[in-house]
Amino acid sequence: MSEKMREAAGGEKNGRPLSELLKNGNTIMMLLIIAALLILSIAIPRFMSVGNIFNLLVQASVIGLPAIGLTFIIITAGIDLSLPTNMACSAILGCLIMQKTQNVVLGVLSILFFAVLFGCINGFSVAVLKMVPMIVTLAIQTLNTGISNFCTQGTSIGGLPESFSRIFAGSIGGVVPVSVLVFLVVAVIMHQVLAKTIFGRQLFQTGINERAARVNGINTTKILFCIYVIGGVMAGINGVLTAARLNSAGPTMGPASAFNNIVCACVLGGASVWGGKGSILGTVFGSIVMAIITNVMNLLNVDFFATYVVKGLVIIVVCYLDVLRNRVKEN
Amino acid sequence: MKKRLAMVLSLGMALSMMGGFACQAEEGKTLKLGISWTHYNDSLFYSWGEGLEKIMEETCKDHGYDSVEWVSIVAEDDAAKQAADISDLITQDCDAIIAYAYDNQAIASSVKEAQEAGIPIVLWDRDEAEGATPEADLFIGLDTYNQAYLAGKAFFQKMIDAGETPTDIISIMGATNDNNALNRQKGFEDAAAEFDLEIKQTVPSDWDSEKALTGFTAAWQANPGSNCVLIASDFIVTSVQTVLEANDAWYPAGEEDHVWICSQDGFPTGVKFMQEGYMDYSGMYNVDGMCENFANAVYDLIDGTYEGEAKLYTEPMVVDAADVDTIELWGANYMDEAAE
Repeated sequence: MSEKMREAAGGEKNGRPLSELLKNGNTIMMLLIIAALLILSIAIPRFMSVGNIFNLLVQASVIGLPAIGLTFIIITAGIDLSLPTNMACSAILGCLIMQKTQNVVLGVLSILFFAVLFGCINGFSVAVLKMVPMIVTLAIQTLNTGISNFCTQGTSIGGLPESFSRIFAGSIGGVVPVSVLVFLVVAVIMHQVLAKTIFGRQLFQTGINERAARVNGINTTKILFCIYVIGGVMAGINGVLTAARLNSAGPTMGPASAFNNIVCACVLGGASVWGGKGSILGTVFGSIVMAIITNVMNLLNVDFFATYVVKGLVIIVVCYLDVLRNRVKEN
Repeated sequence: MKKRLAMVLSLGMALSMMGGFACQAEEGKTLKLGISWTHYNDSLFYSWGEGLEKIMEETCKDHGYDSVEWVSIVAEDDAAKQAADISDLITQDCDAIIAYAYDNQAIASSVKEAQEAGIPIVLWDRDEAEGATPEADLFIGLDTYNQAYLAGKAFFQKMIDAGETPTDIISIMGATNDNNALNRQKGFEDAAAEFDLEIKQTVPSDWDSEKALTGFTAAWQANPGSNCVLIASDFIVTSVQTVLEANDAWYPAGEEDHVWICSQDGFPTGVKFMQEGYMDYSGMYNVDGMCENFANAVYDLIDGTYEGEAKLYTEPMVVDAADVDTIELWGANYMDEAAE
């Protein structure tokens, strides 16, 4: 992978001095998170408790899993507004099957199947039919909401096998929550896919200039289709974990407002909505930062209206950072 | 650019530290109560919040506490966020947690988490779904069936006493996934049945004024001869006003074409329309009663000595428009404050 492409993927340059490392967005982000953790641990003693750290990581995984999917999509300057509703709808359909059959494996596979199916519809519409991603995914979001409410009549699906919650909402050794472990494993795999494979390289080339990528022999249709499917897979995994945590699935699981945190995590992690830039490591850090903001606001008992203001400001700052990054890139 | 990012985050951290130190400034034995609201954007939620703060401030000293610290979090109508919020409240070692459940099935996982942490959890106004386990330590709510049943019965009686026959009754109900909405609908139906009446058409609103407007427009077109509307909550009454005004049917009591309206809750808009004569009866929230129930139970719940009922239902206040200025109503309090 070329140095330029490696930089776009948020990878670090080999054998460079510390000053060079500090130019890397992910390093800066990691240092800022460490600094924030140190200061917050002094300001709020219970912040660094094991319980709170894992609680925070669970919250980060809820944001982070769909954000990983969205990172792939954003790199091509696309968007998937349907991620939260896809998660909810797939979880509902899968949990309905699980409730009827009391079969956890079948239920989990069903959740993943439906999530991938919606991802395929998105991917086919964008890649093959050349439809505008925002409109297509908005339509799928509406479709998901309709299906969710139609299938449940607005109620939640309960009565799931006890083992479902015990497995997917449990913890390894009574300490590490399964959702955190899944999030980290998925992040490592997707980082490898994005930063170390031909598919990843072709994805960046498509994001930087789709036409040029096509001329260079890259099957951009396949690339675009695949990234929406990846988004679907991430929504499905998130659906399994969230349904297990709530021990139910309902239309209340994936409100459109959840998308704010997801897109913020991506952009904060260095993905550019203009395309061609993004990394999984950055998105993981972005998710942790978003979770820290909510967690700290809660721990400090900040007035919820102020919380809205802070979140709104973060979104504005993040968008402005993206504009600055883009300007630097153009220069 | 990095410097700017660092500055923004530093400022945020500095503010956080200030907040942290401010929180630690409290002295003496403090009772720490956490509340998880689903949203906090209407006067009923304000009324609950203020009512709880007031009564706990008044009673805490009698139970050995010098002050009460409240940690309020809003889930932004997201069941997954509410679960995370309650985890945060547990992390903060609250003495007790109050939760207004956004999803009455999903809340059970948070109940379990709180109970495993040894923190009593009280569900407020919206109970867990039937069969959901484990059950919360306490549920405090209104008897929503009686709210509609008693108000409906008094309302129909008043109509009949006035020489009117309820015709083509239209009912605007709340959300189909909300026990309170279902109870109210059943209460209205049973009240009508006592007078050998039937609800002609039911309009689901999902607690959304916009949906109520669309649904009621269609229902009124289908039943132009209706003289009677039952409403699940009077924050929806402006939708009814819009439709009736458009159809030249919005007149106060005493006028010939007055459409009789019975509603629920006692929001300021409802109280105003009762004062003006457009609305005739309401089964209102007894906010003070709910808060008293909480204060009576929470100290024992924290001490582990609570032996009362697991579900405390507060009786509603059934209010005739003729009496609206003589009774102390939570909604009227907010109208007065707004006017000041």
